[in-house]
Amino acid sequence: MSHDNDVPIPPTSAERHSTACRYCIVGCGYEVFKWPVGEEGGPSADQNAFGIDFPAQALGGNGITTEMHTVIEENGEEYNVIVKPDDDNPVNNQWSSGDHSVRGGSIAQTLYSPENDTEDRLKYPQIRIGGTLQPVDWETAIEAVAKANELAMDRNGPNGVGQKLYFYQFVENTYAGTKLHFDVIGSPNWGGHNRPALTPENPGMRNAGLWQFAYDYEDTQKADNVVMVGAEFYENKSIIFQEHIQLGVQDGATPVHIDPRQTFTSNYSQNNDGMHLQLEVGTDAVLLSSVARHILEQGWENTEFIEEWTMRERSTIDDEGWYQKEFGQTFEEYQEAILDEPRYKPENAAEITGIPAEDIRSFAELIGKPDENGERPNTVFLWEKGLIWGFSHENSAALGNLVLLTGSVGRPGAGLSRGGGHQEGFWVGGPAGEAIGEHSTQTFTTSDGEEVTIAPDTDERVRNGEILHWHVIGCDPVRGSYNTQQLRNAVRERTSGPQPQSADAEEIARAWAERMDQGGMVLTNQEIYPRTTTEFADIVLPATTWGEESDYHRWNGERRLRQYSGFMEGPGEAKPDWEIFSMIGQEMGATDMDWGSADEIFEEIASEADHGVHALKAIHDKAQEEGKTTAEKVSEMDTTGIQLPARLEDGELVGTDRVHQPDEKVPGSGRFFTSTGDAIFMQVDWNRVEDVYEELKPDPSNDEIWVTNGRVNRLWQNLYSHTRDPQIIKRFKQNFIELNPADADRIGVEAGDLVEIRNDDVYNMYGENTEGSFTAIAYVTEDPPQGQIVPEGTAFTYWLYPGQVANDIAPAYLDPANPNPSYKLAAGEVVRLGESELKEEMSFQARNIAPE
Amino acid sequence: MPDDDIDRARRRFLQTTGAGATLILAGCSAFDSDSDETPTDTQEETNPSESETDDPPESPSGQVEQLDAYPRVKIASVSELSTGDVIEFEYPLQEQSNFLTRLGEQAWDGVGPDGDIVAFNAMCTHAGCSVSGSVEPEDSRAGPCPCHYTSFDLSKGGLVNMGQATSDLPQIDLEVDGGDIYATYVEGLVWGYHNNLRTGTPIEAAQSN
Repeated sequence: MSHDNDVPIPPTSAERHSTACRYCIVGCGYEVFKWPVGEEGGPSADQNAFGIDFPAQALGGNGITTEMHTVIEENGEEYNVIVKPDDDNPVNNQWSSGDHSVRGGSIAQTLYSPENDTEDRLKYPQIRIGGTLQPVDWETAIEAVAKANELAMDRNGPNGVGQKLYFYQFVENTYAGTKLHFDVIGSPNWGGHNRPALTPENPGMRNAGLWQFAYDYEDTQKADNVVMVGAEFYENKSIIFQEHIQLGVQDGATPVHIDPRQTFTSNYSQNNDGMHLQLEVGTDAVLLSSVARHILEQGWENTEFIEEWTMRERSTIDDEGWYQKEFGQTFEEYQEAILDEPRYKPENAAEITGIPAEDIRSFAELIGKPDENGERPNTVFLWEKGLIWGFSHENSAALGNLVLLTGSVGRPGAGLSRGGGHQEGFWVGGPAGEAIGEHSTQTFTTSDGEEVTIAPDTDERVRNGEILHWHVIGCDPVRGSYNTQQLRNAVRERTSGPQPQSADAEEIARAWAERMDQGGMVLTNQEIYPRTTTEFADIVLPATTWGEESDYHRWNGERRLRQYSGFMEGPGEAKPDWEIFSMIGQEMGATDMDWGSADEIFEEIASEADHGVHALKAIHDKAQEEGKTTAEKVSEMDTTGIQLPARLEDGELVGTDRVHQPDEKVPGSGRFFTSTGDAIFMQVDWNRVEDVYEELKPDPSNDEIWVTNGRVNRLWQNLYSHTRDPQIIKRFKQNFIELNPADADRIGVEAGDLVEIRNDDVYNMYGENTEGSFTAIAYVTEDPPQGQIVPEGTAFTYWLYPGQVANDIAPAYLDPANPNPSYKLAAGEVVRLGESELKEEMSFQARNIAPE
Repeated sequence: MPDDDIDRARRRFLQTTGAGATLILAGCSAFDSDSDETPTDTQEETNPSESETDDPPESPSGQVEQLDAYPRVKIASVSELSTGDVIEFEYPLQEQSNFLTRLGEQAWDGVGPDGDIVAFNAMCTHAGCSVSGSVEPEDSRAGPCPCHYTSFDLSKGGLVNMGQATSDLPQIDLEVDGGDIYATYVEGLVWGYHNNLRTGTPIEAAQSN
C-alpha cells in the first residue's frame, strides 16, 4: 500500500495489461500498470502512462487512490502495480468515465505482496499428518488426492467422490475441474460454490426457455420501467446502477424496487417518482402473480407476443421434458390457474405480502397497460438474491411469466436479467448429464407418480455418508451452504477418524481406508487462503488466482467475454487450478488432460463451442483465419471484449447485444431456449410451498423475527480478500445485524451491542430439525432521514461473515424438483450478549440515504 | 463513449449538481477580521463539472509549484463558529477545497471546547466530486455525494459509511490556539493528486507563512 498522502505516477514505459474486475457480475473493465520501483512518471500528460495532466479531473477515470496501488516482489525485484478502472469500454463509462465500485477500486490491496496483509496465502501443498497440516511436495500431494479418489470409488463407486467448485473462476479452470469430476471419475455428486447440486438457479425461467442474462446493460438506459427485485442494486451492482440505470431514470424511466428492506435503491426509486414495494419476506411469488392477475383481468396481456412466441399445445409442452410436463402451462392453462386462485386477488395478496392492493394494481398498470396509441411500455426486469434463494421455482416462474405476459423481451429497452452476483465462467468439461442420469441417488416424484432422477444435493450426501472424499475448490461450504452449523458438525465428525502418522503413501492409504470404513470422509481443499473449510482438510492444495500467471476468460452480466491477463507470479509453489486438475486427472490415467497452458484449454473450448448463448467458435475461426490463437484474438479486444454469442457476419466477427430477439442470432437456437424456440408459461402454485412457508415463518411466541441475509456494498462473498484490506474491513470488523428500533427496544439492545441470533428449531426436510446460532453487532439507527432500512419483525445480516455465519440458521428446505436451498428464509431469536468493543468505533449512520 | 453521450452525461451532471452551487456559508464573518487568510469560495473552481468543459485542461507543468511541508494556516475562530456552520477553505494548495464544520457532537480528532469542530477535504475519494454542498452537520454526515452517492461519517474520521469510495474523506488536522483554529495537516490523499503538496499553487496564506 502507498503512503497515506502520495502514490507514484506510472511512467510511459510502464507495462499495461488489460483485464476486468475480479469481483462482481458487472465486470467493469480494468487496466493494470506495472513498473520497477525507483522509476516514476511525471505529472504532465507526456510524462506518464495515462497520458493525462495531474491533478486528475473529477469523473475522468484517471485518479489514482492509495487503494489502487501496491508494490509486489518478483525474483528479488520490487514493482509498483496500479489496478485502476479503464476509461474506454462500454461497461463503466456511460454516465462518467472509469467508474468503479468500492470493491473494484481496492483490487490492488488483494495482490500477493509484502506490503499487503496477504502473507497467509497458501504457498505449499499440505497433508494432515498426525493431526497437523504439514508441507509436502506436489507429487506426494497429488498422489494422495488420487488415492483418496480411488479409495472412495472402491467403496462407493463414482458416488464416493464429491466435488464442490466455483461457477465463476474462469472457463479454463471450471472446464478442467468438471472434466476431472464428470469424465475421469464419473460422479453425479457435484455442487457449485453457492448451491449443492448442478441445478439451474432460476428453474422457473430456465425451463421456460428464458436465459437469465438476456439483456444489454444499455437497455436500462432505454427503458420506460426498470423493475428491480431484491439484490439492492446500488450496493451490489453498483456500476450498472450508476452508469446505466441512473441514465435511464434521468431520461424518464420509472424505477421500481421490490424488497422487504427499504434500502438505498428503494429510496432512490421513491425519490424519482418510482415505487418501492416492501413485501413480506418470502412472498414474491404471490405478489408477482397478483400483478399478473390484474393484467389479465384488465386484458393488458400482450396477445400478439403470446400467440407468436409461447408454446400453445399441451402435447408440445409435455414432450419438452419432465419439468415442463410437470410445471409448464399453455397460456390458457396459466390464465385459468391465475384467475382461479383467490390468493392472487390483489386484496387477498395484500394480506399475504403486505403490499396494498392499490399498489399492486398501480404496478400492474405501469408494466402492462398500453398507451392510447396501443404502444406497450418497455420494461427491463432485473432480479437477484431474494427472488433467488427464496422459493426457487415459484419465484422465478412468477417473474418469468410476467416477462412473457407483457412481452418484455428482446428489444431495446426491454428484457430480463439477473442482477447477478459473481461473474460467469462455468464451462462443463465432462458428461455431467450422463453421470447424474446413471448414478444420482436423488429422485423427484411427479404428480403423475413418475420417479425422475435429478441432480443430487451433495451437501446432504456429505452429511449422510455417501461421499467419502470431498474435493472442495475455491469456496467455503461449511459457511456457504444451508444449515451450516449442522454441516460443520457432520464434517468435523466425519474427518476426525484415523489419520496418517507419516507422509508415506501406504500409511496415508491405510489411515484413510480405515476412516472411510468407519463412515468417515477425506477432505481436500484447493484454495488461495485458509478458510473455515480448511480447518477440516486432510489435503490442502495451494492455487493461484486472478492476475497470477495464466491468462483467463469469463463473461459479465451482459455476456461480455474478456481476457483477464496474468501479470504477476503466484505465491510460493501455488499452481493454477487447471494445472492441479490436470495433474490429478493424469495421475488417475487420463490421457487428454495434459494441457501446457490455460490458452490451450481455451482453444479446446472455443473450437467446439458452435451453438448456444455462449457460442464462441466464431472467435476461434476468425483467429485461425488470421493465424492467431483464440486467446490472442480476445486479447485484441481489450477491456471491451465481445458480447456472446459471437458469430461471423459477412466474414466479420460480431457479438450479440441481447438474446431473445425475434430475428434470433444465437447460433443453433431459436428465439427461446426450447426445442421449438417458443417460451413456456410456468405454474405458480402457492399450495406447493405454503405449509413449508408457515413452518419457516418466525414464531412470535418464541420471540422470533425474520433474519434474512445478503450482500452489502463493501464486502465481497466470504471476505477472502476483504478481511485482509484494513481500509475496507474497518467498516464492519464483525458481522452486523440491522434491527428496527422497535425490535431493538423489545429485545433490550442498542447500537453496538453484541447479540446472538438463535434458532433451536432450524427446519430440516431430511430429518429432525436442528439448532443453529451466530453472533453479530446490533446495527440500530434512530430517526434515519429516509426511513428505517428494516421493518419491525425483520432483521438483515451479512451472509458469509467468517466465524459469524448467518447460514447457521438457514433452513434445510430445498425445492424437491430442483434442490436449490432457501437461504433467505431464516428466522431466529435475537438475544443480547453484552456490549461490543466496537460500540464506540463503529458507525451506525443510516445506510439508505439516496439523493432527493 | 460517443460525443452525444458525453454531452448528455454532462447536462445531467450539471442538473444533478446545480444545488451544490448554493453552498452554505454561514460564519463567513469569521474571515472578515483577517483578510490574509480569507478562505475563498472555490465552488466554481472545484465543481467537477468544470472538468467536462470542451477545452482540454492546460498542462499544469509550466506552473507547478510545490510545498515541502504542510503549512499551519488559520481557518476561523472558535467563538464565531456555531453548530451547523459549514465554511469552505483551500488548503494546502489552491483548488484543494475543504470544509470546516461544527457537528454538535464529539468527533474523532475534533477540536474546540466540545471536541466537535472538524475539517475535511471536500473531494469525494471515489471520483473527485465535491461533497461540500451535501454536508449535514446535524447528522455528522457528508453526502450522499452528488455524483455516485458515497456518504461519510464526519464524527468518525470521515469513515465511508456507504458507497463506492475506498478511502475515508481526508481529515484536516486542526489546532486551536488563542481561540483561533489552524489547519496543520491532511490525513490522506486528496483525490486526483499524486501528492497533496504537488502539482498546484500553494494558497496565499501558505506562501506567506
